[in-house]
Formats: sequence, C-alpha cells, structure tokens
Amino acid sequence: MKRNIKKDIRHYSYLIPALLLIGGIIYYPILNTLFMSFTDKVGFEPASFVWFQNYKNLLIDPIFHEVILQTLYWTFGIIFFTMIISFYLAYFLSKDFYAKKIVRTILILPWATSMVITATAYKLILNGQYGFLNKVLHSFNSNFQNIAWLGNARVAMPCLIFIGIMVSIPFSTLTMMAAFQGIPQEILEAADIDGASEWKKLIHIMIPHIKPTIGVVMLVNIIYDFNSFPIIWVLTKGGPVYKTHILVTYLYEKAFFFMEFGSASSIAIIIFIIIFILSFLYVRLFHRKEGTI
Amino acid sequence: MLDSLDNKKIKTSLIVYAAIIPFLILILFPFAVMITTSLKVKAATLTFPPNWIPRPAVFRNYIDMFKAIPLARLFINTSIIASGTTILVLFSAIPAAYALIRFNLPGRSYIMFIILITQMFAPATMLVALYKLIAMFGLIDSYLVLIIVDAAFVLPFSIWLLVSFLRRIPLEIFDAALIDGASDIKTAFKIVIPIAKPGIVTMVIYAFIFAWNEFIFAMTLLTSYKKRVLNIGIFALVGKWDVHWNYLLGAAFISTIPILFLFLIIEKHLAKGITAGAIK
Repeated sequence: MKRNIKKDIRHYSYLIPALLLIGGIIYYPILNTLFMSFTDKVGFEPASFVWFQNYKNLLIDPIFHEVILQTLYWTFGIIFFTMIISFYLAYFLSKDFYAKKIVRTILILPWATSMVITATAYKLILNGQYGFLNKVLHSFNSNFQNIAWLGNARVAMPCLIFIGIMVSIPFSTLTMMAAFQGIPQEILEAADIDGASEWKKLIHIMIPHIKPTIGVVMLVNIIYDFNSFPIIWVLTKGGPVYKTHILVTYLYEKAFFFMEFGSASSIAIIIFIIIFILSFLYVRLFHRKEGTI
Repeated sequence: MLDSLDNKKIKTSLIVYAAIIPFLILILFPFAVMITTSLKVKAATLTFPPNWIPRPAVFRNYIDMFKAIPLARLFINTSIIASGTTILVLFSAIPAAYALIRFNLPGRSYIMFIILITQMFAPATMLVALYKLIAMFGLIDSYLVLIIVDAAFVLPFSIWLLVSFLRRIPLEIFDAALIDGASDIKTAFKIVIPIAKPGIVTMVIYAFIFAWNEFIFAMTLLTSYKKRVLNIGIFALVGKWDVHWNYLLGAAFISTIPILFLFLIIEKHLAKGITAGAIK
C-alpha cells in the first residue's frame, strides 16, 4: 500500500506537544549532562574540556565508593524486606475477610502521602530528645538509653531503609494481591478436592502463578528506590558525615551545594547507565511475562 | 448454608487480622504521631516521653497554624502548579495517545519506546543540565517552568494509561466516524473522549497528585519564599531550630487529605499501570 506522506505528517503532528516536552525537558538535558560530564565546570565560570577526568576522579574518590556501597545497601535493603512483607500481606489480603475496604485504604496511606510529609513525621519520631521511637523502646525497657537515631552513623541508614520499606509496601502488596486474586479458582478448588494442604497450594500453585508479577514488582522497586531522593534529603541530607548518601543525593549535593556541575554530571551519567541496564532487564522480563501468560 | 459460609468468613477474618495487624500498626504509626502532635501545645511536643493523648487538646492549632505558616499561600501555590501540570498533560497526552493508537504511523513502536523509557530516569540526573538551561533563559523561579517540567515527567505514564484505555476501542468505530465525514479532531471529541473517559480521569488525577507531591524540582526551580509549594514550605520548617511541631505536622496532615481522596479514586488503575506500563 502506498503511504500518503502528507497524511503521515499531519498524523505525526499530533505527537508534537508530547515529544517537545519530553525532548526538551528530558532528552536534551541528558545530552547536555553527558557533555558537561567531560568538562570541569564549577559554578558559573567558563569551563574547559577535560575528557574523562571527572570519571577518573570519582574512581579514586573514597567517598564516592562509600556512596556506591550505600546505594546498594539502601536499594537492596528496601527490596529484600519489601518483597517478603508484601508477599506475606498480599497472600492474606487476597482472602475474603471483613472490612477489606478499610484495610485497603490504610494500606494505601503511605503511597498517597507525599514522601516529604512521611519523612517529616519520621523526623519527630526518630528525634533523640523527645521522639516517639525512644518512647516506645522505653516502655519495653525502662533502662533504655535514648538514641539520636538520625545523628548516629551506624543506625541512621537502617532507619531510612525502614521508612523506604514502609512507603514501598503499598504498591508491591496491591500488585501482588491482584496477582493472587487472578489465580483461577478452579485450580485451587481442584487442589482442595485432592486434599492438598494450604502450604502445598502455596508452593505448587500460587507461587508459580504469581512469579512473573514478583519479578516485575521487584524491578520496578529497584529502579524506583535507586532513584529515590526525598526521604534521605528531608531526614539527613546524606549525613552524618556522608554515611547516608546515595548516588542521587550525592549528585544533588555536589551540584547545588558545591556547584561542581562537571563532577555532578559524571555521577548523573553513571546513574543513567545503571538505570538503562535495569530498564533493559525490565523490558526483557516484561516481554517474557507477556509471552507466558 | 448461609450460616456456615459466614462462619467461614469470620474464621478467615480472624486469621487475616492476626497476620496483618502488626503491619497495619506500623503503617498507621506516623499518621497517629502527626495527628496527636498537631493537637498539642508547643511545650508538650518537646518533652520526653511524648504522650499519645494530647493534654490539653488544642483544636485551635488548626486555625493558628495558618498564621504561623503561610499555609493558605502554600495551598494556592501548590494548586496552581498541580492544575497547570494537569492541563498541560491533558493537552499533550490526548493527541499523542490518539495518534499512537489510531494511525498506523511508521516507527510507532520506537516513538512509544522513546516516550515510555523516560519513566525510569531519575529527576535528579536531569536537574543539573535542566537548571543550567532554565537559568540561561532567566526563568528560575517561574510557575510556568515548574509546570512544564512536571508535565514532561508525568507524560510517559499518562500516555501509557490513555493508550491502554484507547486500545479497547475497536478501530471500526473510528472508521465509521470517518466515513460519516467527521474530521480527526471531531472523531477525537465525539468518540474517543467519551470512551476513554475513565482513562482520562485517571490520568488527570495522577498528574495532579504527581505535581502536588513532587519535591526535587519544586525545591530547586522555585527559589522565592512567596512561590513555595506545600512540600517545600513544610520541608523548610523541619530544619528550623525553633520548630513548632504541632503546626508543622498539622499542616503536613491537612496537605495530605485532598490527595488521599483523589488517590482512592484511581488506585486500582495505578497498580496495574505501573507494572504493565512499561514498554510494549
């Protein structure tokens, strides 16, 4: 069939507003960041081209190494517990029980709430002098010595990860819950007739059935947590002494506190490459899921 | 028969609640802290151990906080940003989704890929270059710029949502309209919009929530005190030495309420959207 070029052009024009927005606000800055990552731009001074110097500096920057490890700690710490808890919750919540709607609404709370707001509440909860967490621990053990949770390099990151888990649970649980509910009732009933125990049903029917969903949820969470900025920024700004920085907060501090735009850009590109690899995995996984169902 | 069924449901309910209650408590914990603290007098927020029951309970805090924090201003600013973003998304996502579904455009799957992959990118990575670009035009601290940036970042998900709704419309409906002599624009308005209405509603609410809750762009691109949005106004008070936790957490709490209602309307579509919403 011969295409009508004029018509095609007219049809493409429908996409112009969307492509202009995405091109101008997302793709152009990425290219510009790539360029800047090869310069020594600091503040508003004119910059010169330094090739891979920023990347080389990062390679030998001990803080950057720490930040990379902390990013992994943060991301996989959240994922690990989020997946286990969400699976557990989704299994129970997919059953038929009273006041399901109310429970669902409670579950959604942390997802709907802006992370800045959640983090603000935790700022008071984790306060060392008059915080609620110390109060709760005090009521279990009256000898408990108050801890400044966010000022302590050893416990600050686990606290942040805990909050990360709490805000990741709703999406993961609801998605897995939908998968649990999507298991054909006949298969489960047939298993019941055969006298299969709940445990056997879980292992042999339910888990295989929701496995693709688990994979997708996990990757969405990895990408999402890896990129997540507000919780850490509101609560610790990466402190104390860089101990809670992850890549995105470190990048932000470098750019907007120290004005080291060139160096910050090289971190942005590294983040970008990691995300690209993860997205690629995501697409592969998603296609596989589509193929199998 | 009915009796035995109910018995079964009661039994299930007991098991389910026994299993999930610890987690429900953990989820509700920060909200309980927010509400109880918002009703305390300032001195009571700074003593150890903090009480769960505010004594006295000062409901007036919810009036006084509007004087202590420029809360009305923050609400107005946030509404401007969120509504602006929503409108811009509406006008760019609908034609794009329509073209992607309706016309068999060459390179369509590539265009979809280019649009949808951006969902994965961290706003922080774009921000340095974006800031430079915006500063070059002297447009730092402009509502419009923040609206444009927010819109660009919600677009991918919005387009995906609409495309998945429009897919359910049989192509013959479009064709039938065309034979009747309707132009594309007319088809869009007469047929597509009514059928895609649930999708459009979901998209509109999602864009609004996104812009309402957005943090890093609002913090970086709106610099003046007057133009601050809720998140930033609240964030700015967190680090203050002389912090009014009662006003601060009260403000945090009421800024969440409109969003929670909107969220409950669209929540079902969102969970599906984020997992399936990748590249297709």
